[in-house]
Amino acid sequence: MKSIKDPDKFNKRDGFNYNLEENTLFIKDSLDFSQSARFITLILKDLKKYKGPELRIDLSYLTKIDSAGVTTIYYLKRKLEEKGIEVKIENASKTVKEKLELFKTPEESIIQSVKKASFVESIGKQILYILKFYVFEFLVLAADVFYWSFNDLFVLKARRRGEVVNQAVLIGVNATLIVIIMTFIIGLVLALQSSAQLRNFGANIFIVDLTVIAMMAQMGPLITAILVAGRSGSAIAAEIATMKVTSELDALKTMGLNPIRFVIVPKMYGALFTMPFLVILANVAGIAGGMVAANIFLDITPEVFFNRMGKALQNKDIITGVIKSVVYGGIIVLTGSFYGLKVKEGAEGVGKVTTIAVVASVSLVIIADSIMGLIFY
Amino acid sequence: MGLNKIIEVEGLSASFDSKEILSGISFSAYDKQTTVLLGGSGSGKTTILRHILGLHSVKNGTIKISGKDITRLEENEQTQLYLQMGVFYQTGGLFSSLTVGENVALPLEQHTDLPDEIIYDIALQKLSLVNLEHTYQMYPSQLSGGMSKRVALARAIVMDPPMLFCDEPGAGLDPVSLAALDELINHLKKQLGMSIIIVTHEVSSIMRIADRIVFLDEGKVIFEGTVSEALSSNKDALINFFDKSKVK
Repeated sequence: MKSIKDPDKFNKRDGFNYNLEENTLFIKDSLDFSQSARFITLILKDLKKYKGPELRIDLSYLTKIDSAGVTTIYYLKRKLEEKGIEVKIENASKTVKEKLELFKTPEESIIQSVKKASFVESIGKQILYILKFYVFEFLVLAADVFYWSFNDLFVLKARRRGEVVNQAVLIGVNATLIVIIMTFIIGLVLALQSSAQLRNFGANIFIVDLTVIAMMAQMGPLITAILVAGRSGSAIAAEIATMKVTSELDALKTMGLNPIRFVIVPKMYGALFTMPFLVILANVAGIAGGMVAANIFLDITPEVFFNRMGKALQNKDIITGVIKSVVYGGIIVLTGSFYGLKVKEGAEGVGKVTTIAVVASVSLVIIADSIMGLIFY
Repeated sequence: MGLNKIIEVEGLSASFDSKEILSGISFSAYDKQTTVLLGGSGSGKTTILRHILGLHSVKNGTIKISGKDITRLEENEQTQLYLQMGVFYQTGGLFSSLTVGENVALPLEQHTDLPDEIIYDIALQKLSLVNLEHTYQMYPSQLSGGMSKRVALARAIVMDPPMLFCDEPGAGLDPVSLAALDELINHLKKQLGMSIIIVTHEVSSIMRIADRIVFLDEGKVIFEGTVSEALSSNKDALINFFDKSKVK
C-alpha cells in the first residue's frame, strides 16, 4: 500500500479531502452526495494537464462513500480512460469495496441501449411513431368505420334500436341553438365590418353578395363544424375513452358485438344526417344577421336583400356547403372516436384524450376546409 | 434493546371534522430495522405516516426523527430532513409526463450539482437495483402495476436515504409480485442499511419483511413488539386479525 508523503496536504486543498501526488490520487474521509459535485469539478480541472500513462485512485483513507461517490469515481475513471490513461482503483476498505460493487455503473451495453437518441435520430423516430400510431391507425379506423357504415345501413340489428336517433339528437339537435346564435352574430359582425368599406365605394348592395357567399360557402360550415367539434367531438372522445377504461368495450367484444359497429357507426350516422341541416340553419341565421346589419347600416331593405340574394347565390355555393358539412361531420366523429380508443392511463387519461381530440378535430376541419376551398374554388 | 431509536412518536393525537382519528399514539422505530404499522382499514396507519412525513401538522404530541422534534423545524430544516427520507407512495406517484429515467433522476437534478452524466448513471444504476434499467426511456403509462412500484422504489432510494417510508406498497399487486417486491425491499434494506417504516395490512408481507410491528386499532396503539411476540400475543384484536388472515 502506498502511503501519502505528507498527510497534512489533505488539509491544504480548500478544506477538501483529496490529494493528487505523482501518479496517485488519494481521497480521504468521505465522498457522498454533498461532496461529489465539487470533487469532480476540482479533480477534472487538476487532471486537465495530467499526461501519465496511468493513475492510481487510492481509497485507503476513504471511510464513507455512497452511490453518488461511487458513480463519481467510475465517471472519473471513464473520463481518464477516454484520454488513454489507465486507471486503477486500489486499497479500498471492505465497506467501501462493497459499495463499489453494489453501485457499479451498469454495463456499457445497457448504457448504450437506453442512451438518448441523437437529435436527428429522435426526430426520425418521432415521425415514424406518428405515421405508425396516428396516421396509419387513423386510416385503419376510418376504413373500418366507413365499411361498417355502408354495410350496416339497412342492417337494423347491428345497433341498439333508437341509437341513431339518440346520437342525432346528442350531436346535432342539441347543438342547434348555439349554432344559430353564434352564426347570427358572426353574420351580423361580418356585414357590419364590411359596410363601412362598401359605403366608401358606393357599393352598398354588394353587402348581400359578400354575406351570402361567405356564409354559404365558408363561414356557415366552418363555424358549425368548430362548434360541433368543441361540443360533441369532446363528448364522443370522453364517452369512448370512459367505455375503454371501464372495460365496456372489452365487454362488448366478449359478447360478440363489434364496438365499431355498436358504438361508433351510430355516432357517424347521427353526425352525417344532422350536420347538413345544422349548416343550413347556420347559413340562414348568418344571412339573417347580415340582413339586419345591412338594413341598419346601409339602408338595404329585406326585399332588396332577398332580390339581390337570388342573383348572387349559385347552386354551387349551396352544394359546397352541404358537402363540407358531411365531410366535417365525418372528421369530428372519427377524430373523437380515434382519441377515445387511444386512452391509456385510466381516469386521468380520459381528460387528456378529450382535450387532444378537440384540438385535433378543429385542426383537421380547418385543413379539410383549405383543401376543399381549393377544389371548389 | 441496544438499538438506536430513529423515530419516536409520543402522545400523538389527531382529529378531523371533530372525529378523533389518533388518540395518544406512542411508539418508536429503530435504526436499520423494518417497522410495520399494522391495522385494519381506518385504524389510522396512513394518518400517522402523513404526520411523520410532515404532510399533516402535529397538533398534539411530538414526533422526533433522528432526535430532532419535527414539529419545531424551519422550512429549510424540513427540506434537509426530506433528503434523509425516501417515500414510496401507494399509487407510485410517478409523473406521467416524464420518462422513467427522468422520474428517478428528478431528485438528483433538483438537489445536487452533479454533472448530467453522473446523474444519468446514478438513475440507471438505481433502476438496475430494481431490475428495470431497460425501462429508462419508457413512460409510466407503459409499465405494469408491479413495474411502476419498483420504479417508485428506485426513485425513493435514489439519494441513498437512511430512512424509507412505504405506504401500502403491496396494494393492487398479485401475491407473486407482492412477494417479489418484499424480497426487493429486504434486499435493499440489507445492501443500503436503511431503516424502513411500512404501512400495510398484508399479513403475508409482514411475515416476510417486518422486524417489529406496531399494531393499531381505532386510532390507538394496542401492541408494539417483534413479529413472534405479536403472533403469541393474547390481545383479542391481534388474535382476531391474524386468525382471520389465517396465519395461525
